[in-house]
Amino acid sequence: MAGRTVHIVVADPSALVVAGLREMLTATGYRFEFYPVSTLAEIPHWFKKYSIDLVILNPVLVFNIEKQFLSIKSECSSARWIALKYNWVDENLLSNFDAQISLFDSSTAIFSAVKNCLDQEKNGEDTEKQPLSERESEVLRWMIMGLSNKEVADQLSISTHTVISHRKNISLKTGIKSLSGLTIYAVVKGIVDLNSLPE
Amino acid sequence: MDSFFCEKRYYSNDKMRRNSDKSISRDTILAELVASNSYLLLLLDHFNIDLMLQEKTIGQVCNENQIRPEIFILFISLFNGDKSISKVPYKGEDILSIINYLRSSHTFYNEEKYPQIRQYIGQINLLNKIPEIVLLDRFFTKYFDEVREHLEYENSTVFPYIEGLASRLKGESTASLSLDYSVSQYRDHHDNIEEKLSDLKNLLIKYMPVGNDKEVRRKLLFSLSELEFDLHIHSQIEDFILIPMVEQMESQLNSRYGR
Repeated sequence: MAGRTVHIVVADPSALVVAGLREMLTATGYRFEFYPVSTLAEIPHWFKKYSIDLVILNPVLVFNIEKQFLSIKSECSSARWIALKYNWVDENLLSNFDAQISLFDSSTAIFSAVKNCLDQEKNGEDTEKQPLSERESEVLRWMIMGLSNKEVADQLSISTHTVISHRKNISLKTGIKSLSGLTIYAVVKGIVDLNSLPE
Repeated sequence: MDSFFCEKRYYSNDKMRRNSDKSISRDTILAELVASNSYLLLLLDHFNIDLMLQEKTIGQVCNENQIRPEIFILFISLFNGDKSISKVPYKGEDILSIINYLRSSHTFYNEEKYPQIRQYIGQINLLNKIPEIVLLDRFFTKYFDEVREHLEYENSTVFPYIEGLASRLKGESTASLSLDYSVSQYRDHHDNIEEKLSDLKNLLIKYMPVGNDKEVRRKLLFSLSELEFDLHIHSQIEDFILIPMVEQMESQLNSRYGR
């Protein structure tokens, strides 16, 4: 994951703030790709298209639609979420974010918040070097046989949530996201037998 | 601590840096840019600009090929990895240049990249007889079927729709627009086709057992990277230039005629 572009969705009603944030982060010389949106509902679109690392969201966009926010956030949980505060924001709401920055923070403070947030993901990177665990191989085997997340969960007597988190780790470790790509990986690694593949 | 951020820029090459840093204008000699970023050869191809650029400036080349220099420079900066694409004001006549560009990149994928990659996979299959290669072959075929379906949809539905909007805006056509389509559907339709390409590269780099196919595999990886680069620019053009422009056109027409 080292050295790749960091993909950031910036959700804020102010074009000025978005441009300023873009300018500030770009000036650090690292590689960022920005996807500005002005409403909460536009966020998932970018998750479908790109592997988004970070969402920087103005909590104003969430007021009165907290439920929708939580469901979008759990749907897009592969990214880290940072709150961009203009002024006071309810603590309960803030507890849903991985970090927060304020309109009045220095560029150093903002950059280090972004960096810290992304470095948390590095815990996942340490596991990247190891091969799949027995459980992950098992999940992969069932996935390749065509079972849905729910069916794999039932088969292994674990929750669907756990299955999803195994799937995420499998992709993180192997660098391969699609099921058809993972199938080839599993054949090469002897996790499944070539002749037992469903067609 | 620094692992996430270890590489600072797309282009570490000094010459390229200079190009992307220095502002490119219509007086810039195009050949110099192409010499320092060879990916720009793809840009030339998709705009149907022939080589032997001689000492021509961007302004001259654009004039000969009826492209507005601002849009041409915008595309060059995408190729050079610059991110300030939102700053350029769009004009109506650009839409047709952009569609021409996208159409010829479709031809490039179908008629040049696809057969080339197929051929390399076929060669690997001969040199390195392991069953996994057959899976890889199947993977790529399925992947490209998806790509082709997307390209076909753009060629037959999206582009004609946009061309229709353009001629209505110019007052050349009064034919009524189909009410049940808008570019927002297109936005939803086009999903990530870069992901499987990256899977393919990772499989070849990390996991596929090597036999006598070292050289062909390297060529295949270069070819895949070129395709990946081109597709990435392609979707940036669609997301950040084409779709916002068409949304503007739609709202102009809506306010003019109602819909």
